[in-house]
Amino acid sequence: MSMTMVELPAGVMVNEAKSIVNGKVEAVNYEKTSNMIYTNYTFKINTDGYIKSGDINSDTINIRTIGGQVGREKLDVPGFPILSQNGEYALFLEKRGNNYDIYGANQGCLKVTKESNGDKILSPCENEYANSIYVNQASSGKVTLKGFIKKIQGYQTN
Amino acid sequence: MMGIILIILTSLNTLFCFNLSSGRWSDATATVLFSSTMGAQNSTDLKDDKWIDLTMIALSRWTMIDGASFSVVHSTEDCGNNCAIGNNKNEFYWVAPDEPPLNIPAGALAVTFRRQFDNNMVEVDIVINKSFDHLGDSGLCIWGTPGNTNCFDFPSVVTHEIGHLFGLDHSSEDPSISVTDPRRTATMYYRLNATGPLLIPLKADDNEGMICLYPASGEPYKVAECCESYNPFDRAPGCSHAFSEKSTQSLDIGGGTAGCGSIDKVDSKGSNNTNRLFLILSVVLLPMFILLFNRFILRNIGKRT
Repeated sequence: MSMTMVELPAGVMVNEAKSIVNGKVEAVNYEKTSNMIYTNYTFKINTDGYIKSGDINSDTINIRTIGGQVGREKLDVPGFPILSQNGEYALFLEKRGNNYDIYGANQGCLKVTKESNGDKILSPCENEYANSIYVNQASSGKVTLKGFIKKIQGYQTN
Repeated sequence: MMGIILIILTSLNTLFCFNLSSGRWSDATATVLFSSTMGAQNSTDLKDDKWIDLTMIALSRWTMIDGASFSVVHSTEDCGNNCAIGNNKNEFYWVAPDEPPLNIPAGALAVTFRRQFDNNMVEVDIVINKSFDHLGDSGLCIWGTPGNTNCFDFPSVVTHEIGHLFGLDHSSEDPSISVTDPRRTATMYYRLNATGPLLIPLKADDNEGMICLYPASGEPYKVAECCESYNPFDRAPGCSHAFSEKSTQSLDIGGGTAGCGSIDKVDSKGSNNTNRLFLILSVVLLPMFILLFNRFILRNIGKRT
């Protein structure tokens, strides 16, 4: 990490994030502007993946994060999440123009994996930045997506 | 002849083990700039350019390590309101969270942006979050001075971020390791507690990382030693965790970049293919060379007689 973070309280995470969604990364591409490199993720939201929909009115959104590699040049900002193509995630989002960014960097990023019984299990994108909602639940075993959504609803005031 | 071949092969081995996955300053020098206008303005501990003095002290901690050699030059230029990524200048400045184009995320005290070209650092900017520019109530301060306990220690934060500037990663990201573990006591441990312990002064693990990256001898052999020993089960004494921890996590059997950088392939024990090539060439070519040399001598002796 090249970022020193403080832990965001659960209520802040849930209410300050514009949207919270569950879905898959369909495509990843890099963009170089005059002085920055960005990574663009085409993110397809699952039909039941609108945990907090905010103003999202489409099933596909563009998530744009700082950092990436174009040719031989790399902008490395560890601490900002890196998503894998075809990977499934639960993400806390904030709006930036026409794009979305991940709220709280890695604290707003959770990987989703499917167990043989069909349960969707969550894990932090980076252990070091596990958010407080996850950490709270993980202390009593695996964190399922269903359980996580319930927890989020408990904190939601908007 | 044989000696020359061996020297060339040994040099190749060292060179291939030299680049870091997380980047390195190839000339062990960096010029840094500060912004007096995009600086701390509220925190009485840090305003009036006190944060610049504290940052320079933090930089000097890293450049005064015995056995390591790195030069930091403090430019007289002030980046003012023009500090930005992409201008090939290494700048320290404060910005408000969510301010474009950096959009520092909520909760980030400071962020280090590293621009690299072929794994060589070309620019590093350390950006501090303006929303922590206040004393007390979880702001940035000099921790421990009278009344300052409910805040984050700025010298610790900036010393840690500067470790990233040099190319170091975290000594550990494991919250469960013992509080006496050298990886945990290191400045490059991933977590900073508001109420201490402070991340300064630098610890042995931090020092070894710098010695690996920028050996005072000017020779890359120390780095090569770290490369060769780099795997979680066989770390050589004196090889910093901050130097290799991240790399061992991304150990890739069968290819990719890992360990000390752009190594073609890495096996499960962490030895790279250059080592293997060196071994094969030594075992196969050496006897062949001796055989040919003997035949050449015998033929010449035969001709003479």
